[in-house]
Amino acid sequence: MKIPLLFIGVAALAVLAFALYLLPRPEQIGDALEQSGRLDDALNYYSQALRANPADDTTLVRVGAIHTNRGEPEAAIDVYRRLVELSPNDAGYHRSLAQLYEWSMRVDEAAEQQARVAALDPGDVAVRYSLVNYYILEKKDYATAIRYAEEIVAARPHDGQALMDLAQLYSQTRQLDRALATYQRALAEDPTDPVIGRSLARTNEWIRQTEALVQDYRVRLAETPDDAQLARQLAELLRGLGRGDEADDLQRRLGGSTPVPGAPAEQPAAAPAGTGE
Amino acid sequence: MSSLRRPIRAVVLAAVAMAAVAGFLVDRAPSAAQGTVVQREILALINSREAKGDSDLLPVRTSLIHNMAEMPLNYLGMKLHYLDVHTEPLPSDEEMQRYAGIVTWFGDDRMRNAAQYLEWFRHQVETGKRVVVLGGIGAAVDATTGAEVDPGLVEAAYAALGLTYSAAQSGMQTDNPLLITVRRKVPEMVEFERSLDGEVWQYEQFRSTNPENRVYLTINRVDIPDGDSDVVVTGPWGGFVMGGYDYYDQPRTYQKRWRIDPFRFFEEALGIQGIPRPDVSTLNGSRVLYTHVDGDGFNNITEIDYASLSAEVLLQRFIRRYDLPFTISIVVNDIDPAGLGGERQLRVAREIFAQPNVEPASHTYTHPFDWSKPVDLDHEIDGSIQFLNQRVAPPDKPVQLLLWSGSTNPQEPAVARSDGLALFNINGGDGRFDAEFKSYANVAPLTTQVGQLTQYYTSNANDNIYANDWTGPYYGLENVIQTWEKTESPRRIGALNVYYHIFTGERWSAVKALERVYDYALARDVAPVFTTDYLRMVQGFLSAEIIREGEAAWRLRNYGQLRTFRFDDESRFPDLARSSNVIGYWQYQGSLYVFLGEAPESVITLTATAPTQPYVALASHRIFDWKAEGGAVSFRVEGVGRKKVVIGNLPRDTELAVVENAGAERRVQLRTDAGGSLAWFSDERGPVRVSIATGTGVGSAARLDSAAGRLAGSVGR
Repeated sequence: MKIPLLFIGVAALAVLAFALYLLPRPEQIGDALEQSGRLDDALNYYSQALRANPADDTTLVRVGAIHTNRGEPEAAIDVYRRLVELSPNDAGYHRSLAQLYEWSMRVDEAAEQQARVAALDPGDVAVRYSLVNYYILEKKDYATAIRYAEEIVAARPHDGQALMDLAQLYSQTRQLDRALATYQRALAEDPTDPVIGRSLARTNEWIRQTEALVQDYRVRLAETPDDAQLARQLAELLRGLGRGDEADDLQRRLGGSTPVPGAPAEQPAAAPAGTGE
Repeated sequence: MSSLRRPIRAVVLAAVAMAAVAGFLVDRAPSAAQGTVVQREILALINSREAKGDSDLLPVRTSLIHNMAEMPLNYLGMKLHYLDVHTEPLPSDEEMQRYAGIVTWFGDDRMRNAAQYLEWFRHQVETGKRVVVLGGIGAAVDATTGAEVDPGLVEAAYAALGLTYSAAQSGMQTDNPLLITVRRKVPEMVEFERSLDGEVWQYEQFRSTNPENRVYLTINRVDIPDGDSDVVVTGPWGGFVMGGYDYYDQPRTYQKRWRIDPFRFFEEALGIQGIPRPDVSTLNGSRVLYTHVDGDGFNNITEIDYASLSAEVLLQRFIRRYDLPFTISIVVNDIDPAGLGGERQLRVAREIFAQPNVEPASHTYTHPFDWSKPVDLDHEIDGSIQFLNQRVAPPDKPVQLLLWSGSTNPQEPAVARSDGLALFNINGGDGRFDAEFKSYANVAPLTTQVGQLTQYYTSNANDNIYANDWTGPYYGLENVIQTWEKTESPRRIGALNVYYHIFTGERWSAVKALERVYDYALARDVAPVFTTDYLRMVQGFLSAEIIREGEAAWRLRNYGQLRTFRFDDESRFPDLARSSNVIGYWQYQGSLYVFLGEAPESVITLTATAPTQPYVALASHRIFDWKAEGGAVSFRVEGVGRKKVVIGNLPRDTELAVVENAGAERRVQLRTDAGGSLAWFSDERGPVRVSIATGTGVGSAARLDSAAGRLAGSVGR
């Protein structure tokens, strides 16, 4: 029986293709080497794989892991920076990059990545807590911290502790009306919590004190309508009580700019006291 | 003193300056034979009633004074003795004689025998004892009865500080942020690590009435007339900071930041400007470097070859490779054949202890995790030492050191047991100052008081802490470098401590990180010492006595193995001719570091004129038998690690004959630089005696053999 030459050729090619298919790919060899602890060799094969497919994120993750395991945090960071470039909407890669930055004590870069995670994953409460702490402790940016605290409450509307934390931030930043409303929400979630009850009572007392002061300032301002400083102080108190419209109106009449709601009021720098410096 | 007029202020300033110059602020102790003793001990009052009941730490260790104030006070040369007002009687006048001052930092206003305390407190101020009150007086309510004390007593206590505080006006107290503003502030003093902007949240009314007071922060309550309150004040009596303006505490993370500058505040409040401060961070200008290793993980198989023990990795990759002193401890159960050990473990342990650059130590027998629970001290301390000395350590190198395990919270009987065996002890502290813990509040003091005994602290945190309880990143120890840098400048605080566990050898990344840590340290001027050498320096810090013998002369004694005293804000020099046992000095970051020789007593006399005699400008090790006379300089240097000595005030740009003797004589020729400094190096492991012919006179080195080798005389500093 004569076998046609063409058939032989095709069969040979098929066998060859099958054999090639059966040969392990570089990333598979790399993986096997990595498992056996031959990290340098594994890296070589992974590099080979990446030369063929630079966007192979699975291999990039393996390379990042090897660098981490070998104590090469900068190299691992580089890999994850590449990964977030390739997949900018992958919260997991941003999360890992944030972790690597944190481990290297690069807190600002870690926070930047955590912010990306927060933007991509509205349900990630942990990353928001981390950002709240960062913006208060490192940046002293209460407005941004409050934004993340509000997002935590949005994600967990019945979490009494989250509501307490947010209310506290409002009161620390002189937003008594918001603090009051948030404490009331917290109390509704946990009516027996004595701390919430005390905080609520205290905020009510502050509002009463502040209302009295507003009345006093209004009387004084009527007597001295050109006292710009008094007017500014009054506007600030009004904002703290949630009466922003009145404050804006007052500012407009004085021709001043409207401060950003929620931003802590700047204290005037003063000369050294006493014998000082 | 908010209304103090400028001319009055000038007069007060002048008076304070004159008083300081006259030694009035410093020298309050009875005179010694030829001078005035500078008291260095501070009575730290704590109230254990405030301590958390579930803590496994002693009340001292949870107190704010220990956690925040003791380190800056140590830096300023002071040592603390703690007294618990809840359980101990207040000291008598006689007992108070030993103290330079009192520091309190109570968390609330409830105290046992509050009225008695207030009277005692006022009496201390009236008898001239300096007091530092942080937070508040702490005794407005009697903790036993729950009754408020007579408000007059509280007012009188504050009045003694030159502060008017009206307890009757306690209704003025508020934390309504809309009502409180900053009236005046000195930012350098009151915004040290965090600004006050937007964080003025507490108000009580204090008015400074003493014209000698210095007010650094005045706040105002806007809704009351005359609402100013002086909340950060110092005076000839000490210092006061109202709570909320002492430090910032983030509730969720428990991270703290100083608001006041603790260095400046304590220095001024205690009147200790200008005194020489014993300093354990530095030896002959080099930063002290020591390694100690907790024995955990001896048997862990390393991922480097999946065969070696972690202890073997430590031996091969570090102890044998780095010419540095290592203090290695062992958890005996890991090597005892009756426990988890065997012949292999015993062999490795013996090999480690036999290395000439290893100091053996115990990490107990079974590694108790919590020393506040019952611990078999016979077994853990005596038993471990006995085992190591009999079966592991070379006969001429017995174990001298115990490294506390677990929570590092020994109780007094455990420390007594260790002391009874004449052991040094260490662990606990774990200070750090880095991007994550960005405050001096996290830098540990030198020691902690355990009952009436002393537990010695590490200078830095360890690999387990940086690796989050060994869950990763395993390379975390590399971050200790940040702490080293932040504690180097603008002020050098503490030694460099490479502190890790044997299980570091288990992980590639941990090994790499440790290599980088050592490489970083060795690229700098360090003084490598064994841990017991460092602890001897700390003992010298604790025992040192300072006697003022004139405006610019200080006698020092009982400093043991400590060799450095530091003068801050000092531009003068030691007068080498009129000083004794002073071998060198270094001016650094505004401070003057004075290096002492081996004599048990020294005199430092300061002068505005730079010395002309040869002196030690830098050395990596202790210098023995220093002589600079007759046209020659000679000294002996010994210790593990590469030796480096820089000598100043030699003929400029000149080749000098140097004879080294490390058993055999070796002659070399070295060249001084344009400033007259000469740098000498040696890799000899044993002691080296060095003689340098400096020119005119005849020294032993003058017989230079011109055929001798020539070293590259690069000059440090």
